[in-house]
Amino acid sequence: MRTELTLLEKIDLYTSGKLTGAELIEFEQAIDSDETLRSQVEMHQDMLRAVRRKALRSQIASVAAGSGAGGGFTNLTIAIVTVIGVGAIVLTTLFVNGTFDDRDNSELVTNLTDQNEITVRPIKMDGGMPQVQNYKEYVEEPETIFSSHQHYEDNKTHNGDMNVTVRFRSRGEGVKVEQPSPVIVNDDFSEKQTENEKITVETEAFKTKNLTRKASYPGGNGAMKKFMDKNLYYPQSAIEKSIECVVRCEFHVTEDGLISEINAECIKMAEKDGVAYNDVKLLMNRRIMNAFIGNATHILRTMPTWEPAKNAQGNPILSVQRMYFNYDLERGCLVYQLDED
Amino acid sequence: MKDQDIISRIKKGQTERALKVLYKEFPKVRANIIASGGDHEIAEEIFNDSLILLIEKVSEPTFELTSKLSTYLYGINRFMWMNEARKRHKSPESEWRDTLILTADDLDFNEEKENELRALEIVLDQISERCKKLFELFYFQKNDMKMIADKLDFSSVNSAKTQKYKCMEKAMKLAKEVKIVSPTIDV
Repeated sequence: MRTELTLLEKIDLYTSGKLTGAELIEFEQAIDSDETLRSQVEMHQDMLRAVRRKALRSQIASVAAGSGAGGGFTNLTIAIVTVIGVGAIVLTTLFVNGTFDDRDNSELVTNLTDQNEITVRPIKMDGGMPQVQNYKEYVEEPETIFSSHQHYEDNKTHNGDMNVTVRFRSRGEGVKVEQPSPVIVNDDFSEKQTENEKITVETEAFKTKNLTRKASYPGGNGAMKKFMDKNLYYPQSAIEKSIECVVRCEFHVTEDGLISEINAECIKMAEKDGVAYNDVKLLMNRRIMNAFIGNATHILRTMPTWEPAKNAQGNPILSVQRMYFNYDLERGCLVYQLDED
Repeated sequence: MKDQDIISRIKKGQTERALKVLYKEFPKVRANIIASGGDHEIAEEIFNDSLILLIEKVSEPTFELTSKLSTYLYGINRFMWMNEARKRHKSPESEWRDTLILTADDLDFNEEKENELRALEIVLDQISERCKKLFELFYFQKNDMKMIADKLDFSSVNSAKTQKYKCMEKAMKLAKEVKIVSPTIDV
């Protein structure tokens, strides 16, 4: 312990360039001859760089907040607030000295606070974070339209070691089905109705502003499910460590029906029944995370050409699709699809 | 503030004032990045990373400025953006004005090292508040141990030193765990 402490001190001195003379030469020789010492010093230097970077980052953040996203506007606001603040101080002094009579003064004061509120309000816009988080939460809770889970389980002859449950939004009139439906051979889901219908219809109405037809997999969702059954697998490394994961994929379906701009991201990773991994754990399991992401994006990359979305005139247009791949050790992989918001 | 003033401030460790001046270049950089296919968020990220790189470069004793500092900053930003765009399989085409064409060698830029450092920054998020404060005061603001012991209420200089040692040991341990599990961190 004692010797390690002095070693650290020495490394500190060395990295800051304060080691001089015979000590410096001696230490440099020690580094040259001792492999572990060398790697320790290197790591130490990296760590210090990271410490400085972190500190710089927070400084930059504070500078950025000072200059503001709106630049001049924020400066102006600050100026106004300052002017009003100075005015308030002057007035308050006058008030204390009793130059004004009470009635006038209270009027003035209320006026001032009113103005203050108005000028301060725009600054609040910067704290928009919670809203965004709420939005994310909303997005990440996919709506189930139908499920082929049941069907799949009955048909266990499949060669893979996982079962795939596919849940898609139906292409019909925004009709929702809650129970897993055993029949999913074609896309005839329109008879099934639930109490959630109202909500879906609302969102549907919002979405189909100028879309007459949404992008779809050739042959319908049934065909897509079959394709996924064939191609999805649970990464072996993840099975060994019993890790579960949710991958979000966003992609464009172009006018030609090609899938492009695939943007995949692991939104949650955890050991079975464990808490979600924090940043360090994610970093440590980067390989496995990439295996999940690679698996999910592989599906998208190898898909055949889609039927593009069409606008009111019947011309094909580009559309954004979002899919969630929920890898679950017991239930296999659940795939949800969400449309463009 | 003149370029030389900014540089001498950075070298002295008074980064805050320098950053304030340099940050004025952000709108221009952002415009450039957005014009070549980026968005606001990525522009901000790239600009921040570039600022850090610039400060690291300037702090090096061998640093020599061959152009205007803002031109150099644009050069770094352009390089970082090209790098990022390549990762996203985009080819940014639009031209940048007033900029240097810098390569990875010019900047000693090493992708692996950058990722490693980024990982270390995440590791540093995990250590205790007190350790973070201690590290920042000692390694960034370059306070001496006596001042730190006063500021953070340590009973003596020695106990502050011991604490620093313990913090460093913990951080190293975490960092090693990360390294062992994924020796090449590919972000």
